[in-house]
Amino acid sequence: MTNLSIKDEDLVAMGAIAVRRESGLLRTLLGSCIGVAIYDRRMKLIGLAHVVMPDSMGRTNALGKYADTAVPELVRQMTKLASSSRLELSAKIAGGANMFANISQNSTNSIGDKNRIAVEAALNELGIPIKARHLGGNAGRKMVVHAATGTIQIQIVGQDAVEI
Amino acid sequence: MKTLDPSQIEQLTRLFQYGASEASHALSLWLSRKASVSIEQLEQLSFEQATESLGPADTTLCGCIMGVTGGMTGYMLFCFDDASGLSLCDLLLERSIASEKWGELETSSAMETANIVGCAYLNSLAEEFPRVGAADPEKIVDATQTWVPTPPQFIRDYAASILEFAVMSQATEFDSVLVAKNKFQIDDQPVAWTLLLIPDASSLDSMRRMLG
Repeated sequence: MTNLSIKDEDLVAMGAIAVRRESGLLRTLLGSCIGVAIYDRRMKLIGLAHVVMPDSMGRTNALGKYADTAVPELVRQMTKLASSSRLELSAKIAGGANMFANISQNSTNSIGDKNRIAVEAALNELGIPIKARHLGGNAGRKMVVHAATGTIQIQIVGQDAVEI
Repeated sequence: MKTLDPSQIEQLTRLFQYGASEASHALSLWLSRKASVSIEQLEQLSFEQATESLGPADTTLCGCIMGVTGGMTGYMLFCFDDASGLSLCDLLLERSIASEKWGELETSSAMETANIVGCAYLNSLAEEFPRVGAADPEKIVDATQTWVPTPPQFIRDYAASILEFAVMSQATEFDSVLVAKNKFQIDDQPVAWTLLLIPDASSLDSMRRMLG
């Protein structure tokens, strides 16, 4: 991975959204949450949302937290950054791990699946194709999205990084 | 659902100090040396702050996570970096040469320690919490149930990924997360072990009502 200074990358926190154009990268750490990367390779435009929950139930704060609000908000921010240009968007998604199956006493572990379904529905509604998925398992993931290339690297502790 | 105000946080901190005191006693017996657990901070944090409670998001950490069942529900996390966790195992296993990797014996030692410290902490909280609401039965956290941790599960993963799972149970209801962070000393020297208590949304609401 290219050695970048701090200003060239943004860490996307739980429930947050970030967009970038031309250069640098977006990075997030995932457990059972879903990372939604949307990109326009031609314009070198990327966006990343760290989705925590599937449904906003009408809430209008913390738009990045819910699948049904995060995806439209991410597209809105990318459209704004692209100014008048018409976007050709694609998506890649990662996360949704079932990390602690043995000790989970509530629905926390099934949230990953619900998030995935909700994210896929939100992307489908906006006509954004999903080009790759890296989902499930029982380990956390580091997801890194590169603006210049639109490539996405996934790293799991103890394993080599993979590109999706 | 509302979060806790500063006065409630202060009351809760005092209660958690009882838990830390009992955990200190149990850890001293377990390690056969002077040990202390103390509450370092009890705060409501944003998701970003909460997922960095154990350091930078992509730090690789080890942890023993336990679900908490009974009167309070949520999670306890006993976390450490590789070197600090293995030094705990070396203490327990009376090894003179430092261990360098996690094997079955090492993870077992860590999980048993988490179990002992966690049970002592929760037993104390289970005794103290009902006393707070005793003057008003409607405020009492369910005192008829004991507070019991599930058997621990060992994990080695990114700090933020571990924390994300534990705070998810509050994220369903809140935009901030209550985290009780405890620090450790062995033979009066600080060690890089951390115990986090993270109640879930329903327990957090019960605490808020109990504390008035």
